[in-house]
Amino acid sequence: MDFSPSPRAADLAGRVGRFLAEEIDPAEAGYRAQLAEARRTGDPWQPLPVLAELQGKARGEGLWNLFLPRDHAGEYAAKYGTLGGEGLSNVDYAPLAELMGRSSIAPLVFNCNAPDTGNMEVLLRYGTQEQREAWLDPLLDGRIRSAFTMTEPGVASSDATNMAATAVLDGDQVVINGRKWWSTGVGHPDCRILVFMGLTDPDADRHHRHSMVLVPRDTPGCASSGWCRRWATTTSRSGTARCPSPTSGCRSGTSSPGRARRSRSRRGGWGRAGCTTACGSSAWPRWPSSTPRRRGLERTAFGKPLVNLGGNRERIAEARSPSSRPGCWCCTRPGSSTPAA
Amino acid sequence: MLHAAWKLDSGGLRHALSEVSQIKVAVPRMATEVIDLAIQIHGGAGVSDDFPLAEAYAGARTLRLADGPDEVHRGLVARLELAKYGASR
Repeated sequence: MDFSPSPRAADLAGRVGRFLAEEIDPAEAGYRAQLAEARRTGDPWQPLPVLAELQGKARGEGLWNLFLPRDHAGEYAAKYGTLGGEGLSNVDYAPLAELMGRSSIAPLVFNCNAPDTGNMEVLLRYGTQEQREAWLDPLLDGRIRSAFTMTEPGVASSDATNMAATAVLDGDQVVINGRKWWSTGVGHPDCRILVFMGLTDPDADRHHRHSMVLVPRDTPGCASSGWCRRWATTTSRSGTARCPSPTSGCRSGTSSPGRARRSRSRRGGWGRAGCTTACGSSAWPRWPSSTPRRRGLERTAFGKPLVNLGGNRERIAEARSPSSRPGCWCCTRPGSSTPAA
Repeated sequence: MLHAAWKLDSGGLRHALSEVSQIKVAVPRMATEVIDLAIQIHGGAGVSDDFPLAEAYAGARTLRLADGPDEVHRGLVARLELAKYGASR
């Protein structure tokens, strides 16, 4: 078992860390202010210029599409300028995802954000050449965004075999009918493609009933009927959409009929690990626990810094301890270039 | 987390199912606890939009539902554990 980063991963971690400190951290407060203003004025989805600027800089340094998996990145890492020109192993990507998880915008800046990463991996592994050209290339290029539409309001969607929206083959077309929600990213104006999970064979055994279908966002009949508010807030980052309504005329699926479970679980494997590391995130304990530390030292109550009140020291220690941080603690060896702190 | 990554690298998804589910439960749960601590120590500011904590909490809490809720992953972990002792489901 060897968790130490490869020299390339250690180098990338240094670069990503520097980029975060020098470019993203200073821009984040401004980004949040712009986003708050956009929400107040009614268009929370409008991409903010600061993001495009940061993406351009990150890409210029090769810090782009770092999620691409070692085993099936093919020529794509080199084609779109990932530093080193190859995909990364999970062990090498994990510390980078953890770093990105420090910031709410970093995953987007490095083109490593959900759900696009998982969708791109589905296209990499299961897409035809035509599908990859139509959707994977522009996603890797950052020109478009995507959504993954599985969860439905009408069924308990924790069980993926419950999905009731249908995808029916009709000649060379697939007719889609159903209602989805919590389709992250579907409200983004650049969202062009939905990976749709639909029921194709209700009579098959439960793990072979569904298929994944690529649905262009502009397919006639594909409509969103409004936005969910999550905890009283509409967020552009988490994109809570009810979508789509009855749809027809989709081009093609990513899996043979009934094979959605395989694609979904593969997406769920690597995607979920990445999602956990980046969005989860194992880095969150770092910045929220650093803000209370700072604030807890700066502010006083009852004559003491907040950190000295009410067991806060114990809580901070607990938050900082390995039992609370399943991240990279136990795996960092003396002399390793990936810091545990 | 790195152990799960290493298992994915060395044996593929089939050999890392339990580990991936374990971190999918552990990390968002840990994140919500720590963000909750951060909110508490910020007082009212912690639940305002002046700080990113409220949004972070909503995100982390949501992630305990998204991509498979905790219960599903824990069920999988238990099933794989019991399978070592001959249980079929």
